[in-house]
Amino acid sequence: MQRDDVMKKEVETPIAALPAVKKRYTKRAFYIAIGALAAIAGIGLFAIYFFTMNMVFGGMGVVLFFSGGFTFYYFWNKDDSTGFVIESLGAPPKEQVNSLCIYEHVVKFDNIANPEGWPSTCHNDNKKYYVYIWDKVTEKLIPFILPDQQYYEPEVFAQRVLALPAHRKLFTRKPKLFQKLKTAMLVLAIAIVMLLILTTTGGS
Amino acid sequence: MATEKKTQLYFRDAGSFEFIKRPLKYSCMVQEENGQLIRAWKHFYSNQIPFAGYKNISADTVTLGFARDIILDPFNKVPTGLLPSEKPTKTDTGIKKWISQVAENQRHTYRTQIKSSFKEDAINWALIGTLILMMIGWLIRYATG
Repeated sequence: MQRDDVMKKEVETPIAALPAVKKRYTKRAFYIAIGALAAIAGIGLFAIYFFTMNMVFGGMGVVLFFSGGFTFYYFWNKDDSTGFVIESLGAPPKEQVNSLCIYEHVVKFDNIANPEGWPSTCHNDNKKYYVYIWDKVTEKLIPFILPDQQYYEPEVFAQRVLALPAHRKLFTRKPKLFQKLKTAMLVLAIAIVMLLILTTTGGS
Repeated sequence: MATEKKTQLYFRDAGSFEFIKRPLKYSCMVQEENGQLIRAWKHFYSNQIPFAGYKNISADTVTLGFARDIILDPFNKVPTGLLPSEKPTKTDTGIKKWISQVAENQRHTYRTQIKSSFKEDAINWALIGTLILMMIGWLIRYATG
């Protein structure tokens, strides 16, 4: 049986074969733009400070530049949402449903008539749902039961196998002298520029 | 570089569940606290299932996972083998060999990594920002007399 046929049988709803559509304007994009604008405004205020020597402009410039820069950096790196609406799966149900159905090619919330088993709490909305899985043998939805046979504990896998604390320490490269002194050199550069400003502008 | 995240349909020990975004690291979905790995679940592309979204849960491809195990593959989509890109056979020797392969991979990964601290980087970037601002201001001031 072809994959599409299986999917059709599993879901039993017509599939609108539309491509995934990316959402253009997200909250993340808004905060990135605000951060960038604030940082640019900060530079502008700092430039005004150098003309007027008014500390209010200088202080506001520094605060705006760093807070804007941080906002930009934070949201640029924050990628929580896929930003995609998978239209080929059909629109998600808007009303409250009673079950979560796990098929081989799709996971969806759905209404099941006369549900069996015991409902489980979904922590995303704190509502209870019956959880079903598609049984390939009987070609029916059956109550989902987690397996008792185990490969490996997630805690032990993370902390012993992936983290490898002893090996990590052993293999970590030691920073070079330049890398160690990077921060000190930057502070020194700032002091030199400060001196340059004071001597060339007469401290005004 | 932004940490990439994927959605896990995670079943807790008591059987309740949640759709949770987890960072992807070392081909695994991980749970971290203060930069330390707390728990990890193996991530396979072939084991992802599309999800259309519901209420405040966004659409994504989801991977099934639960509290007691690193792999949950109820439809047997992932091929069995000893490579880290495969799932192990559910025998003692199979799992041990597979785990040692994953650990060996990690050793090579750590060998190539350069130590970098976010705090140190943030301080350095703040200092570079201050320096650039001072230079711009000084140049403007100096040029305009």
